[in-house]
Amino acid sequence: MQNRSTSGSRYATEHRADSLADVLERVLDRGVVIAGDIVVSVVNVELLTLKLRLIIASVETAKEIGLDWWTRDPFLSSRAQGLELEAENRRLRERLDALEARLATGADRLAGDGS
Amino acid sequence: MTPARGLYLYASVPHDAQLGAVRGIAGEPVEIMRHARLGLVLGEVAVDRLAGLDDPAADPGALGALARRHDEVVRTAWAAAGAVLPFRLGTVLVDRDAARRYLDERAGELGPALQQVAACREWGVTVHERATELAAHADPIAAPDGRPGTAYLARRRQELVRAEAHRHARSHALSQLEGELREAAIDVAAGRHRTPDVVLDNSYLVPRDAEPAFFDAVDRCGDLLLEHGLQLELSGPWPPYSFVPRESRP
Repeated sequence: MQNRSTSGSRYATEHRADSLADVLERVLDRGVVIAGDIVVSVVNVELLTLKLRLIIASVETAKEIGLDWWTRDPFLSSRAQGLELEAENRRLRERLDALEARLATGADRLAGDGS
Repeated sequence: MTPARGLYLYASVPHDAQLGAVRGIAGEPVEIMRHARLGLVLGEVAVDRLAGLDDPAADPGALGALARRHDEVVRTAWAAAGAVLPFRLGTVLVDRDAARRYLDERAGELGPALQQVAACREWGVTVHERATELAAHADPIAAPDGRPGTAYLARRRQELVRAEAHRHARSHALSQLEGELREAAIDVAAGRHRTPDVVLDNSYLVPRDAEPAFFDAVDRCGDLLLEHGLQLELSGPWPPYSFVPRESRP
């Protein structure tokens, strides 16, 4: 199909299996939304509702097949708000460990000098 | 009360668009309904086809398959019509009267929006940390005899200076990327930064004749970002999902 032609960039990702998350993000989060009384109430048609119900229903299975991006969405998941902090904490702990190891080496050397 | 059947919407298209034989999300024939100088690409589906997704026992893969199918139909309409405004997955109207009322009400926004996206394609650009980047590697400063404390402080100071220069260089490279891409595009939309390691997540609406300049900027800035431990990824081309009129709630 003409619209699938590969791009002229070296940084283009393959448009296939690995981009399901991209497809989901676009078709679930973007696109024209209709509000009002002309819409059928399919699962309350609000897609946010549909999304939330799907998350509750099948988050474990979804994770297995890589459909879990919404669990890291701060708007949909309160857990996501902690993730960034968690990552920063981990980095800080690692640096602290490294610093302590260095200090210990330094202390050994000092003790060696003293004897 | 929910009727058994409804009109599933894929996209708005110009009123003169033509579409070949296409099957929709439920295998239904997809057609263009024309009204108010616009076209709606739609198919008649059994509503419980979508309601089934709501079932706790539903296979989440079914949503993935539905999303891909929706995207395929939008792309087919896009290729045939030249310009589309995709609807969000799962948009269903009660009947043709409702579709006509919708177009009567919204033609004033949809028409100009279709013109804006004509001859353009959407490209997604994300930049994320490379996994190896967090391990800093400073050249060790030789400890002057018997003065490891001084050496430690010097090393620490060197690390801080480097980290600051590194942050500065990165933010400069990112600004350059954003500036150059924005120049080649006619519009930009911010994404959701799906994971914490994503430092930039934008979609760009790029006229086809500006694509060579856009890709050139992507490649040059992508190389520069790599030097600073950041990986750029380009996805697309996409129909203009991120560049549709916003619904204002009544």
